[in-house]
Amino acid sequence: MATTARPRGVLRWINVGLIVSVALLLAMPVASATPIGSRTTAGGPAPPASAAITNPRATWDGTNLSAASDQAQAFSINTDQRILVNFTFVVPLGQPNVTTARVQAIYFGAVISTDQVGASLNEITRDGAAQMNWTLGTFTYLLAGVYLLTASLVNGTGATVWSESFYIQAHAPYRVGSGMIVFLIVLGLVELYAILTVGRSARKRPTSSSKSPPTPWQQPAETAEPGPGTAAPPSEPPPPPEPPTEASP
Amino acid sequence: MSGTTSAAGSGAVLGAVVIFLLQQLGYMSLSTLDWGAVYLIIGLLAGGILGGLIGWVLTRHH
Repeated sequence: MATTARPRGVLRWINVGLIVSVALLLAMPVASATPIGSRTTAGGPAPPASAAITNPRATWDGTNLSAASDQAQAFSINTDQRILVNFTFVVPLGQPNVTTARVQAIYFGAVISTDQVGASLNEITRDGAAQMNWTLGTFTYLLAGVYLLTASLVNGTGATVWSESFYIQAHAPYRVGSGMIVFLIVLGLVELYAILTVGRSARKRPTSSSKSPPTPWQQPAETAEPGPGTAAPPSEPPPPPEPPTEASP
Repeated sequence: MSGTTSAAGSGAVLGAVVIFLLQQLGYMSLSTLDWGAVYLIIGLLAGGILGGLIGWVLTRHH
């Protein structure tokens, strides 16, 4: 009995653990939006661009970001690849200088990482530029797939003066070489096993109509009385009454 | 917990796993909250219903 109950109990605990893991997976974008090294957090996707700068342009390894504005045209990268992102812009005279160039990755509507670098500005020509070596950072061997990124320029007052969203598709080594994919495959196999063994568990489960195994004190079947619940635990036969003894003088 | 309910729960988790796996393999994007939630709910519901049906059939068969 204990040998059949133990695997089911273990499987149940595995299921509980896996469901908790999925919940943590869903909460990951919020939990990971904390400062990690040089990365900083942001409140969310950048607001629409204003006219505080002119001729803003950003390139992804030399290609304009607008080339990947659709998911089907996402920039294809390897998860451990380093990408050179170039920003150029012109700040009109009298406008606050652009101080920061930023790239944010978005997952389930939340910013999961922010990379930013300082921008330089030529005071005479008012031309500005910034360069960034972008990577997946802490998610390098954890995540793969399609993600929405937002490149933005921030001025000295903290206002976002320009932003553009684009898609990337990160390929894991050997297609399954990221931690998340391995975890999901294992989780899927365990849940599939749990579904397919439901019938076997039901067959092993005792029902009300099934007879319980005989207890040691039950009589053999041919001598036992018919009907459930008639067998009683053995009891010692009552001792024979003692003969009356007379008190000896 | 009956076999059908247990299988439905496992199916729902499996449906969510399939959605996340499709995203990780690059077949869909879960970047925006609205579409990500829609895909996830569809996966949970479809997986739960399918898992429940399979569990019900297997339980009856045995």
